[in-house]
Amino acid sequence: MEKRLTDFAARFEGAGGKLHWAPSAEDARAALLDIVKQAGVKTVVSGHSSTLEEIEAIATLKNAGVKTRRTEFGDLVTGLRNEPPSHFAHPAMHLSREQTGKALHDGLGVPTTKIPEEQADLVRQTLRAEFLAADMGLVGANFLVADEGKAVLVDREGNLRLVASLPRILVIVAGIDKVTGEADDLPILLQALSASACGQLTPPGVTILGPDARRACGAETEMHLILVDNGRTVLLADPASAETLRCVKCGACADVCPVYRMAGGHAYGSPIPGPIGAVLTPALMPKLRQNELSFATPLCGACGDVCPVGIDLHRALVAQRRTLSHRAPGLRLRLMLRLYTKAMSSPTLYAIGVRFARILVVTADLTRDTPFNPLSDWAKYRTLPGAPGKTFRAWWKSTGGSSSAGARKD
Amino acid sequence: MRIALHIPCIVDQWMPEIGISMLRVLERLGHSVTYNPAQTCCGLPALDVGCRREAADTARRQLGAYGDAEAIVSPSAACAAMMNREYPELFIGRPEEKDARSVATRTHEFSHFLVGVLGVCEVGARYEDVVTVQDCCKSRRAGCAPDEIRKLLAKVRGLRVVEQAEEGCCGFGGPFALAYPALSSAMGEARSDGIFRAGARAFVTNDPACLLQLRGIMGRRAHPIRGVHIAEVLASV
Repeated sequence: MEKRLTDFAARFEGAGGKLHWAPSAEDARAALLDIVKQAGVKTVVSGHSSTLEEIEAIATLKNAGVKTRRTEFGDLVTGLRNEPPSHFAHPAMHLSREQTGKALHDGLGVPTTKIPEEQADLVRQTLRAEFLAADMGLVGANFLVADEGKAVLVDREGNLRLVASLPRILVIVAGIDKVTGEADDLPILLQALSASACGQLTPPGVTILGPDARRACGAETEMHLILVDNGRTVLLADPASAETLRCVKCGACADVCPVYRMAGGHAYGSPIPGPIGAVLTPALMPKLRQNELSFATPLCGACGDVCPVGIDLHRALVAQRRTLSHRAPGLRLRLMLRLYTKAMSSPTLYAIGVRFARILVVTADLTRDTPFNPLSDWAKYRTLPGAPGKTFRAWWKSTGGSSSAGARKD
Repeated sequence: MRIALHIPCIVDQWMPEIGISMLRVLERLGHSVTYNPAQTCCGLPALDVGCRREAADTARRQLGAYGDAEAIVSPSAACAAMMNREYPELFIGRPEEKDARSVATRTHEFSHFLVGVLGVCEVGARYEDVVTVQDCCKSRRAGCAPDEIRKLLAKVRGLRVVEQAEEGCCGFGGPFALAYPALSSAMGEARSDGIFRAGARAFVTNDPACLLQLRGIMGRRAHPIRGVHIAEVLASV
């Protein structure tokens, strides 16, 4: 990683790009404001990127009095509604076409329509002038190619091509994990991202550019890259979490996650929702206080099965729980764990423990609305099993393990 | 083959018929089956709340409970996955590592043991019913192939298997069921709807925890659908 970063930095700067190292989100915001101030930027057009969300780039610019415009359709719509994206590849997937039409009408002043093609046309007409007038383009990056010093931007709407080429100044904000080794890795990475994000084997739109290419378009152009650490080196240092930085942000893990599908992206309270977000959010955005997201999963493992870059999310989620284990969610759960560990330490204590558990289970239905029963959360929504006459071990002891003695006709 | 039973705590206390059924099937196939009551719990609940040390403390006590059996067979995909995948990792570089590896390689989830290890699909069972399969999510981690339960059910006389439009997690997930009860049961409701719409009269699973969850959800419905363990279906003649 270190070599990749220094290789990238040397080539990027050698080609005339300006590199800003940002150890924290705050440093990244400061670097961004610095660029804006020095160049006297008044208007910014931006692409959709979870790293921009992570460092709160758009809010920072707005607070500094800069006029901003999100240009990715879904990102624009959620932005107009003043809500975070609900999915990192499809930011507005929680909205109906009617809600989308209303948001565009309210936010852009365009006629209300619920026909997606007409909505896209209205957005295109409105944004075209803003692309041409903007002083600065602001984007994330999907990959940074170390041996060529170039940034790779993937989009589905052609908006990134315009953001990256029309305004005089281009600022890319990317995590240090985005630096890939060689240009040779690109085809497979692009295919993995595209196939998993939108079901197409070739990405709809790819823009690959370095500072020299941009300079060739006009002598006045500037290309900045803010490289963000913000907790990534901490993730990298722990073998249990290092591979989560391979994430290409395709969103496939969220698409298959039964919790995501049931609760929706906003339930995570993070711009990176879904299983990978449950692991990355506490490390990258501790301010959000969503440290216990890793408990919001039944660990079914569907996420890891579909990950195109092979992140073992099951393992990463359990590892994340481990870092929280000294403050598991709720005193009750912790107390139950204590009792459990003790009870399971010997067959005798086990026998006492399970007898106690039987009493809890049998009485849980009666006490389900009181705080006295640790199983009330279960009993509120579900029935509990009736206690059988004999436990398996009692049955084994009484029959000597003869299966015919326990035979029951169904 | 000399087989030791792994009886998960839920099965021991709440669903002993699953253990008895498993024993009957394995004995019917001519194997010698033992059970050691010194076993308590595999340690998964502790690992699932992130307490690795407590999980190892609990797991350590199970390592000696299976003697020199050639195979350890479990009616729980989740427990089998814990023993297969996590035991070696829990004891890396510790004195118990060898025993943990030995238990890990000998442990098999019940349906996978029959189909994948013994190569047996026909166990001489008869079960008159219409069922749908609710495969435990942990089956994959326990090394099960996706069609093993269906292969076994296909050979059961009198049984018809119907498919759900979409398969998915029952929403149990150990601590998840208690920490996020509304979400967990909403997932269970979705499964229970799917099972209902498939036209099944019962659902078959390979994990007692899925049974606990879905029986609990079904129990609140006006017309509950029965849940049975694959071992119960196969034990029936």
